[in-house]
Amino acid sequence: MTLPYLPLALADSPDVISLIMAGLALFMTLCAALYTTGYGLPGPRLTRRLFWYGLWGFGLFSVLTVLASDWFSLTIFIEMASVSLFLMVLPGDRDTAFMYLLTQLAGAGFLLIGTGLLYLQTGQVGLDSLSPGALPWLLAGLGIKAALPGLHFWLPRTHSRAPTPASALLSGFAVKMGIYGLMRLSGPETQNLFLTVGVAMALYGVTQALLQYNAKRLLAFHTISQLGFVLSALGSGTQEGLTAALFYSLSHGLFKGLLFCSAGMLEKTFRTHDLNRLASMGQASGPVLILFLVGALAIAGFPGTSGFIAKTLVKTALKGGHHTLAIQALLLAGLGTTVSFSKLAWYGFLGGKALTVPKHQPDRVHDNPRCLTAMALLATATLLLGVLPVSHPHLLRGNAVPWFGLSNLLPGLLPILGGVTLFSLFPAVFRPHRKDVPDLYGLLARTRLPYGKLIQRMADLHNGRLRLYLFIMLSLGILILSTLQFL
Amino acid sequence: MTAVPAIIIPLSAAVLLPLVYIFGKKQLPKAIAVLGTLSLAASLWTALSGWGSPFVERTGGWAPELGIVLVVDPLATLFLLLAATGFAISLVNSMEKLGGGPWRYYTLLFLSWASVNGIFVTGDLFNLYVFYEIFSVSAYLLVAFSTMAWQAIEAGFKYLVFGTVGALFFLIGTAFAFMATGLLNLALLPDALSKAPPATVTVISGCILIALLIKTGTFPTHFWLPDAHSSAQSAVSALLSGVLVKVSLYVLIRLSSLLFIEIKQEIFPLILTVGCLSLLAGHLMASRQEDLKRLLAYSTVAQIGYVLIGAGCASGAGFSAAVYHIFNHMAAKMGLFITAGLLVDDGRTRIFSEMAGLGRHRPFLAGTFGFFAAALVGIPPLNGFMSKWFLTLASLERGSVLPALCLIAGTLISAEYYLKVLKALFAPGDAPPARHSRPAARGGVAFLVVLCLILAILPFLADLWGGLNRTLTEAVMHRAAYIGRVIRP
Repeated sequence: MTLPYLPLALADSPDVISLIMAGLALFMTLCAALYTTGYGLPGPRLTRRLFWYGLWGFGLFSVLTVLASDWFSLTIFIEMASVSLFLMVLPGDRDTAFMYLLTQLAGAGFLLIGTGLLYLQTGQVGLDSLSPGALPWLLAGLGIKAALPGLHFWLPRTHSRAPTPASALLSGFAVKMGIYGLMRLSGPETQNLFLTVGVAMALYGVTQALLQYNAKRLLAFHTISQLGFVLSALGSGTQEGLTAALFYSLSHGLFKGLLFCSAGMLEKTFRTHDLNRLASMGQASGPVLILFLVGALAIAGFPGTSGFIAKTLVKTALKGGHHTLAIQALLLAGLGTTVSFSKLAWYGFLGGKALTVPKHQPDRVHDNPRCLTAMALLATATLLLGVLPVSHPHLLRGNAVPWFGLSNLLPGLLPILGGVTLFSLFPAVFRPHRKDVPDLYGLLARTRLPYGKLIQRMADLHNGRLRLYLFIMLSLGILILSTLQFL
Repeated sequence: MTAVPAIIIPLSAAVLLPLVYIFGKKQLPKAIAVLGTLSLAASLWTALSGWGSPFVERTGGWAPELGIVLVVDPLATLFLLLAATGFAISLVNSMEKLGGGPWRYYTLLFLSWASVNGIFVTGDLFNLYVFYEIFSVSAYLLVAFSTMAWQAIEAGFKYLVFGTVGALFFLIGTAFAFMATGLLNLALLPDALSKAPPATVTVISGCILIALLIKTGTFPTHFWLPDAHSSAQSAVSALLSGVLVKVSLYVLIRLSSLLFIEIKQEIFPLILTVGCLSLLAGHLMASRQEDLKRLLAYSTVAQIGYVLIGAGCASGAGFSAAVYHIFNHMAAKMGLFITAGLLVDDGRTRIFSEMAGLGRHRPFLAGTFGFFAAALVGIPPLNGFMSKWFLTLASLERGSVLPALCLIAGTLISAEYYLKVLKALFAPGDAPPARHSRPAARGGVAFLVVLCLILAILPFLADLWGGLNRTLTEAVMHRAAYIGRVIRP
């Protein structure tokens, strides 16, 4: 075989999945750019400039990723988008940015192996071709990008330390690129895997989120949980499921971007995203509060927001496949989401205890109009997506659902009502504790692998003793000769 | 057409320089420039004439059984180009730094250029050994020729010991081949060796393999390499890592594909294993270094591992990927060594954690350092990524995933240590103590940046890439063509 020539190619006629994803990427990038102009990036001038290169680079390469026609181009573009995002994380915290880049490089490596196997086994690398050997590698690579449980360890840390616009893009679109790849892999082979992993992910994310005290980390775990909903929709294995996953990704990108932006406003005003401290610091300003509530209601799935439509679509798709257990698990996750957002709203945005006894007033309310405009754009899109499918049912290609029938309204509202009730009945249980909950990253960092000792041994060999070197050379010679002779 | 000028012109340059020094000291810089240009022209001419129509030259008109033949085929062409690029950049660099002063240094440089070209074009095993020794001796001296007196001399001595042991193994292999077959010609040996007793073939292949592993500086016989590459001055370090290490890799590719691919398949898994080990060990050791140039030298050990993975696949794709990576590594590592050298000169320290402030005050150098590092780590769309992809493909074609996983691990470790260096460079700090303005070195760096970009774009040019690949694969894998060309009267 000679080395293949594989062009970087975009799909000739991109399908609706690619187009919607590309639209979301552009919209999110523009909103993030607008938000950044009012945000005031930290860090020295160089990293701030790199941030802007990263932002526009991310916009470009994420659009190219979803328009790519084959796995090879997708791998290259997704990696370039990740590198751009790395530049955006840099002003927040360098070490976090490095860790993010390393995980993404590993993901690209797996994708590369998968693509290579695909090429060798089928002779092509188109998105529609698939071979059983390549599948696990592609899943691993995309799993890192999409933060599947077990491969998600980079996400909470990156989210909590990155500058807010970078977090918004990360949750809003970067993880969606992994989901986009998984959409291309969805089929009978992966159906059960997606369903199981999706449900586990939804529950795990929400459980962790309930235990967090850092607003951005809390939101990060909700990203994992929400991606679980998307994945379980894909796991239903039907066309409806794919539509639901697509719609859910779209609406999650919008409202999660909005939520991160609101958390960023809090952070700018009060200089912390620790809920314990926020709880005694006073209320967020009116517009921020309203915009946050739009996002919170959307993620909880309140009727009239895109979240409601998305959750209903997912449930309908799962019902079609008779996955009742999964539906119940997702309802539970929805309940957890509401509780967690009640907590965030109460302690973070409403000022918790300070509602009655205002202790500190912020020196300067961060109320930049450009930030608010960007957030308003996201909120408008969220609300529009909540209304449009109802008034124009053909948009979802015949998935005509009796949106406000009792069978949809009730399961939509129940977790919300239940969650709020739970939170107000047992406030002590959900009070943020200033305790780090171990996640995979912490565990990984704590495990001591013996390789440090191994490297030390190896380094000890470099002691400049020629006798030792000659011994090693000669024994290598004997080893090679005997291997060639006797094996 | 003739391949002799590519050897004879640098060789005579090496002899002429002392004479120029004796009879007209002032003319020395001019003479070096003229001789350098002539050598470059001769190398390029030989290289390019051999690409389209490979040719064989029988020196003295002797038949291949008796005389030495010179063969210029596409593989030799590519390596001649590689050497010409590397030597030209290194020559310009040293001229700027040292001026025309130390004629011994330039003599050694031209001597190694001549011998390297000789290695690439010769078609005779013993002649190869002779050129190899000339090359090695000049390399030992080039390493030791430095202002950092004792360290450089120690490094040169270490290199000498290792190189001599390697050369002995090579000589034993060559001698056994001659005793078993009575032949030394590379085109005639494969056929003759297949009739030799299997144990003899084992000894021959084993000895030559060990020799080449020692000379390439792979783990676990890499001990000379970090010292040699880091103690020499930057122009020489760049040359050593960029070109001279590649000479041994060329010999490995040439001999393994010509002599052993059929009669001694077993050496290829060994090459693959050593490649993986070198990759991991080199990167792990590099991540422990604090000295910038030592770090780069250990990274060379790892990059040799990449090339061996390609060569160990024993397929057209594997060899082509190896050659492609050799070029990528040449461009990126030469750039890294030159920029690192300039940074070291300006910062007056080789410990990179003490280089704070250099990033801000020398943005061109630090920026290009980052570029070359990204190219070597394999950040898409730069050239290192493409060679990683091709190496992955080659190893998967062979049916083994492990080398591909090693490549991923290597990417991660190398990204980690290069980021560490960049973080230190861009840490806030004062302006460095010294300022050297070196336009020619910067020019060389800019040229290498362009070269990296060209190498990155190459795989996306359908016709050119296809043509290059077919020609190269044929040159390496189609042994009958090589043999036929030599034997044909």
